Amino acid sequence: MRPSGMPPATYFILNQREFKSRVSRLGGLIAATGLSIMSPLGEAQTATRLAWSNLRGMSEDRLNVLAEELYDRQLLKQLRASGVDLLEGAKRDGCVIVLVTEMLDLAVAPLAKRLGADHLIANRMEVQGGRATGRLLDPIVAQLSGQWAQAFAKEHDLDLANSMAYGASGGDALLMSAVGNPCAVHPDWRLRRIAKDQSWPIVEADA
Amino acid sequence: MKAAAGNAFSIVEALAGREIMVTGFTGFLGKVLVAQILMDLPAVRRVHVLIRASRNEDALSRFVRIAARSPAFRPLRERFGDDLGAFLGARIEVHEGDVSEPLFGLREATVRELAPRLDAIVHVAGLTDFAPDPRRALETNVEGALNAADLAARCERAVLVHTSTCYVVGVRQGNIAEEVLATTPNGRAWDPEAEFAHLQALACHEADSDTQAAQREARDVRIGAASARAELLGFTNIYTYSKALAEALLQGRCQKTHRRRAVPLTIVRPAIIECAEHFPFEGWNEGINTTGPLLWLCKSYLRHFPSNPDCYFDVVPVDTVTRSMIAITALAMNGRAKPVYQLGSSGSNPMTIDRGFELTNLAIRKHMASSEHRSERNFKRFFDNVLVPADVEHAFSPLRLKRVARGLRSTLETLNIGSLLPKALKKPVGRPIERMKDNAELFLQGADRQLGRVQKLFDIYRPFIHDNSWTFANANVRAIDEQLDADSVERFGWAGDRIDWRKYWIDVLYPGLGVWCLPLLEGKEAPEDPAVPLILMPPTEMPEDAIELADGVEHVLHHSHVAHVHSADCDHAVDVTTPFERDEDDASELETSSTTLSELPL
Repeated sequence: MRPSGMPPATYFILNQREFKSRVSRLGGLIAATGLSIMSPLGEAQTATRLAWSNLRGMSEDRLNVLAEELYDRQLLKQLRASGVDLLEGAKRDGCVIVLVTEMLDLAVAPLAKRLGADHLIANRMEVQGGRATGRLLDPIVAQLSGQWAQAFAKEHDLDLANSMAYGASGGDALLMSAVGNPCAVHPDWRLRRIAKDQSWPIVEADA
Repeated sequence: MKAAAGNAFSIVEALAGREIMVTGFTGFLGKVLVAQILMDLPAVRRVHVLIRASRNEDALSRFVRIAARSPAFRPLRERFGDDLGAFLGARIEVHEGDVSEPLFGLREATVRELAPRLDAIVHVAGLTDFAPDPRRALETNVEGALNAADLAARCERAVLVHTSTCYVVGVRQGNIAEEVLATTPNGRAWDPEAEFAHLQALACHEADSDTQAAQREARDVRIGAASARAELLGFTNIYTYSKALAEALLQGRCQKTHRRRAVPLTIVRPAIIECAEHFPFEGWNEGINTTGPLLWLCKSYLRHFPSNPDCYFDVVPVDTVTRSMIAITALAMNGRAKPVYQLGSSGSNPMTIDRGFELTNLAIRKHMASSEHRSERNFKRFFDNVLVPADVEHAFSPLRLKRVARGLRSTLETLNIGSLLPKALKKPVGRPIERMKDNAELFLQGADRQLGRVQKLFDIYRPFIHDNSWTFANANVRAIDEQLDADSVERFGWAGDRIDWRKYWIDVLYPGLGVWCLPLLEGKEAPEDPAVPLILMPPTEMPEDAIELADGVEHVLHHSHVAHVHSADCDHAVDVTTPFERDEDDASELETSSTTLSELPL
């Protein structure tokens, strides 16, 4: 249901209760996507806020059911055995697994549990009276910076220089650059270019 | 036997050795109530069930058939296996009778025999059609309750637990207190006895002749008159009118007079009783209850529902009701019950109509994802229902669609294909087109009829999902928990506040109705459990130690074996391999106080 490359909010917007909302809210989503493409670094948070704001009015029930559906029908299917093996190996080696995503925590919490992640950094939707307000709760996860990575590492006593970072989109580049061993996995065109420039290893999905 | 003092009241101890009569056993609530008593309270000395003989079966055969095949008794069958007959023989006494008859139609000798034994009469039997023949509503809902009071008065100590409905509130709005008001819902003063006489007079209207048409016409006249009367007094339909009248009459009839003792009366008002949450097992339901037809419509291509999104949809699982009814009965027998208990969710764990429809959408979305029909998988499940005001005719309202269907049909009828075609084309082209035209007319005729029924259904539901907004206070049932010991709270405390509506609606109610209710709406049979041989032993006196042991299941079993050995020649064997018969006589006991729509216009 979510065209590849569209913001993570797309699945939720396309599955609003009313047809007119499904169509009209796509407008806001397209604006958010445009903003994200036109000003890739500075306005990431604004674009993310704008994209998720299209969920305002959605019932908490729908949010949960769609998140569960998204996990079952999409996220789970996109898991690759090699990636899971890699994480399990890291876990066995005593690494701390941190899962960072712009997706809603409701959808990725089961994934974090399945992957054995120690920390889940994801966006959280504000809900009042059983309905989403469209506002994301702080901190908003959107193109997290190197400073964030350093602060997080300090807080949890992690050695960034010896850590590994796996990312797939251009938005992950800043975070990856702060980590000792970045690796681009099935990257989009922007991350692929950065990875090549920085001589980061690139893992293709089919590999 | 003694109830513990303070907040350590034990339901198990309070009911040990007691004898309880339950009416309405063949209905949804009655079955679960009796099964739960037998399952959780094996130390209850005897459960007397009042069952009316059907055309083809006596009361005992009906009981045995239900015990052997009804899913409500599945946990008991699983627990006791081959010993179930012996267990039931020791615990159950079946009485053939009819709630609409004085003293339930029991023989005088039986009444005299029951008088010193009965501790409580739990009157569950009721006619829950929304628009029944007032004659039947009068007999079952009003006179049935009065007959229960009369029988209780004949007993030495029996209390009366009368099952009513929250919806006796009628058109009164807002917070509904747990009390029996002296006025009608719209504030008119009323004399219940005079109103009773009025309803009797309405029910007396007879047909001019014996023909079926005349009988139907007379029935419609009676229904029309009773509906008008109900509306005049502020009730939503004949069902709630008759139930409210019974409540009001019982207030007087349970008082002490020079000829009879005062009967301690407790009124239990469940809201909309739906699928079981845990007992007998998750999702079980029986008959066509309130939510079933709505769900059935939600699964169709109809998307616009005339509802008020902010009203509460007061659903309560059947086992939540039965466990509280058991607690209330125990308290009533110990003189600790309140006069009225409302067993609804809106007071403390409310769910709005809007949320109910949204959860239905999500349940359809989830369960149709694995449907074998491609149209459901890929298309229908994304068709979410939305709520619209009832008084604004929207683009897809049944009435508008009905007009469109009629218009198209009349256009087609006037269309003479043959006259438009040259002679040479009449046979090769004209005939197929004529056939298509005939099919289209038939389709439009069917659509017209169906849309009319949908509109009628909306009209019946309108008071409950659009016009009125009620919040049923349930402080009394919630306060019971404070009196009970920990074990009793766990087993018989108020469970309505713990319902997780999302989980219940999507994973329990929707699949439950799909199995147990929707087949009935589609003219099919609901599934039954495989027949097991069941031989009911005649009742014998229980040893005292079996009574004293609150959880002495093993002890009771031992006793039952003894009964089996000594009473084998008196066994009552019934062929339970044939399916249940649902004859018309079942109707008055088939459903209980859930607001059921048995005369579904679909």
